[in-house]
Amino acid sequence: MDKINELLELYEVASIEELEELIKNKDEKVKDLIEFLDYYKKQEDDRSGEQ
Amino acid sequence: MKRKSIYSMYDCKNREELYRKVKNNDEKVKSLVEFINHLKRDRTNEMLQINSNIKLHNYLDSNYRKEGEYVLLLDTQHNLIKDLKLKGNIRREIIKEALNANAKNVILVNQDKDLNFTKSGIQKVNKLKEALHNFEINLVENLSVKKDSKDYHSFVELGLFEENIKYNLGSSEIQETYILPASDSKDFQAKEYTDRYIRDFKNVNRTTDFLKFFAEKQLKGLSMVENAEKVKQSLKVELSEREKEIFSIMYIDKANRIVKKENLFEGTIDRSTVYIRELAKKVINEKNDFDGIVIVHNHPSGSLKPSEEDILLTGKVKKIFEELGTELKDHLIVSRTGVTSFCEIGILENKYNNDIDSKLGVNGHSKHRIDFRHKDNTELER
Repeated sequence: MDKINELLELYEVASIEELEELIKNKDEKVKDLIEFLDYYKKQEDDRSGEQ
Repeated sequence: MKRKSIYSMYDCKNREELYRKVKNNDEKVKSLVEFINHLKRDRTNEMLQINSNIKLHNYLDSNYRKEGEYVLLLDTQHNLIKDLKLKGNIRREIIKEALNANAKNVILVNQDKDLNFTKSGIQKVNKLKEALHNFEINLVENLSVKKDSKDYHSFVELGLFEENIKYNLGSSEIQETYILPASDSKDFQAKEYTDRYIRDFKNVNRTTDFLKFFAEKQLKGLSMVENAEKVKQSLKVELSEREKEIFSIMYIDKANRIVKKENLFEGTIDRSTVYIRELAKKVINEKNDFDGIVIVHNHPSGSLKPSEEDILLTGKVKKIFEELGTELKDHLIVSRTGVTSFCEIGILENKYNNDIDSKLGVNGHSKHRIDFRHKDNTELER
């Protein structure tokens, strides 16, 4: 989990839980991360659909 | 300075490029891959139990956190519900978060702060423990830890929570597993009202709901002082003939007017602190501005006399309201034979706002001054 720190630093949060909470609340601060995670999920869903 | 976006942080032009890097497990995006794996893990049966110092230390070691004060909210079995950083009014924040999360046990963690507990610091934590106890929240541990160091100070290990305070501060390694004490909470038994507001009369089809609707409509804006009889009458209309016990609260503004009345519980009301937790939760989350609270319940038996339990409950509610920064203005018992006010019979001190000028917005030349005080108060303003 050490590497996760740089992600926490980017969003100025103290813990993974705090970052998860921001995502759950659709906080403006993590808009780009939410956008990427949505894209990631869509790609994964499309891939599993193809299989 | 504008914060970097996730794409620029990972040197990517767009989401497609970042996605490719994630899929290829590129070393440069390792932190994001780890985070995604963390989100993807199966959480269905996952309950992290922190019931010993070893588990607590393991949890803290594996969860990076910045300097600051944190609270871990745990259920009755010490399963972790929430881990959050505290800001502002710590006591109020812990109470609010614990009540909302239905947490029964809490652990305070001081990360990278001074390891040593001072005498006043110890007293402060013990006072906090006492305050939380009123809400049946059990402060089981207060731990100070330093990053990249095995040093820590534990309230439990040093015996700082109880009378046997040892000022032998300092420990360098975890000696043994201690089991954190569990709270002995009872399950909440009273039924919570689900139909909190009946806004539209068309939706009201039961007589009891109609009476509730009627009373709430009548009561809003009435003064607890000037319209005391009208208030009692409206409450009687709603509650006096009910076969079940109903517990309500009324939010009162600075001018002693009722802002809102809400029925909270119905049925056999368990007057334990678990029930007080539900009440506190309601009050702490109330959005309307209010100055104090009046609690109301009915006696289906018809008796107007407060029971010993009613008096004990009043004392407990008064104490927790003070903790939440509000006042218990009165406790009313409603039955078909009348209404008993704890203020009027002297069990509670009259806390209604007596400042008539500020209440009426008059600058010292009001024609009519009304006695807002309890009849036992000797001084009469005219």
